[in-house]
Amino acid sequence: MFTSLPSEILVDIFLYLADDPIDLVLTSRCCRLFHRALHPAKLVIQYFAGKRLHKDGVDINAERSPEFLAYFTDRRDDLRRNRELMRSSICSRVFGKRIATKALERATLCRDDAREYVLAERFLSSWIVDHLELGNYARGLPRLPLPILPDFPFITGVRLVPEFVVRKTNPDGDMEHVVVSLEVSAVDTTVGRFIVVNSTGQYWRIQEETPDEPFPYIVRQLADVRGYEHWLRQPHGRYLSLLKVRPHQRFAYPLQIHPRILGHSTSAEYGCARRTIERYTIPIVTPATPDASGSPTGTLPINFPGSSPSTSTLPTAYIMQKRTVAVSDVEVLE
Amino acid sequence: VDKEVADRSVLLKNMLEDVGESDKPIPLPNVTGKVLKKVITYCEHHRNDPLPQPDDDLDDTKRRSDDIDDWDADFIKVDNDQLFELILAANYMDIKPLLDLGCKTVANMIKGKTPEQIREMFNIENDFTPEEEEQIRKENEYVSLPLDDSMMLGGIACLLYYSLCIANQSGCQHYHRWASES
Repeated sequence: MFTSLPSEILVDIFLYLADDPIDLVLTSRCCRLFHRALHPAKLVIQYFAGKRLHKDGVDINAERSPEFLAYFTDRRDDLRRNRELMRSSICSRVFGKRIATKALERATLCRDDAREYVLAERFLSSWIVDHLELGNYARGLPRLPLPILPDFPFITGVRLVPEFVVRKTNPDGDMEHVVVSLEVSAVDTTVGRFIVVNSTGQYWRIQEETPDEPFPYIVRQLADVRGYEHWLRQPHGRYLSLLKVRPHQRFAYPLQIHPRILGHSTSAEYGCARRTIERYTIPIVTPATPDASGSPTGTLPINFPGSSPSTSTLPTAYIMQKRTVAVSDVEVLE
Repeated sequence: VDKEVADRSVLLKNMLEDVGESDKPIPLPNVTGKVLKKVITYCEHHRNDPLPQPDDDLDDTKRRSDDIDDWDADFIKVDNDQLFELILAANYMDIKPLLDLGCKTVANMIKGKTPEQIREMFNIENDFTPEEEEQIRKENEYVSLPLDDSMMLGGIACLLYYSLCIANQSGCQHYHRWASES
């Protein structure tokens, strides 16, 4: 009877176990169904255990080593008591958007520390894949043929897209921030389409677009991860109309998302992302090149290695729309 | 059933709003009479409780399983089959507090149990292959032996040694020395 409960109810039950990671792990060992449902929870445990290792100066790559197991065994009582840890993860519903936000925040905080960043990134990539898998499972929707770890087979590339420069005045003088988004190319294996998704959520471009067809499944899933579900069903009937979101949503995560957390990326793209993030972290002081209209904001004159100017792939009207974004519309990351 | 009681179920509430005042019975095909009677008992007892708000779920700190009041705890003392039927009925009829009560109860039953005990309690088939089981065991080796078990083994070892000391008529000195050294 237990295993015949709808998956959403199972999840509800498991969420009440979140106070104690040991309970979660032991429950996951009952049968395949529970193992699958609780897999993300265990990842969270491993992640935080890894963080503890790192803080104590132990190699973070030794997660599966005897030293790690010994360390973790010694501290399982600590973990058992660490309710906040599990509340901040499992209790937020593994499939909820707040965990994603939290994880992204963590990744952002870690971005100046390479090792921390790698760890956070590894966690995020695992989490997002699991989120999709488990999200499908929980909603009773057909599952995509995803592996549990660690890649998206349908994401074929990630590219940085310079968006624009935002100038902000503060007591130390004017600063200019580069707002960069990530463009994710993906093949939706269920419908065989090529999709381009901009990580800032500013556009969704679908080749062979057919306005009357429902959204390809993976677009819906990616939107779920980002918490942009509300975009998906707009009355306009055309995909591009979904770009119209409120300004504070539009730039929710411009730079906090690393390409690697979204799946495959080449080493060049990876390095490019790192450099851009570093560049963003230290605000540049060079004024942006004025555009043709004389506006103080314009497209960013940076040539990223390994990436061609992305604006050529965008509709002209949309580029113009981007140029008119005012500072007040942008949630600038400090 | 009073409308006030029926309104505890969001499903019924919506149905009543849709069809308006009517004496016609509302079919509930997914709920047996026995379970429905139990559900009505629950709704009658909680008829004056505030209705759950849609945002209640968003506050994670509220998600605890040790806050079941005495009446509810007594109400939910049923066999496993009926418990799951109640959960399914609460889910179907959209009675969130009853669904929460059922989920909390099952979670409390799971807490502190080994996988074998959970399987036995809920009659769950172990569908892992031996290879999968071994792999999973390795992945989570740190919980392969629950803390309580290891403490129990230590306690048994102490008792055995203590018994041997007494049997050798050497009193407890050996034991205490051994215990303090270890």
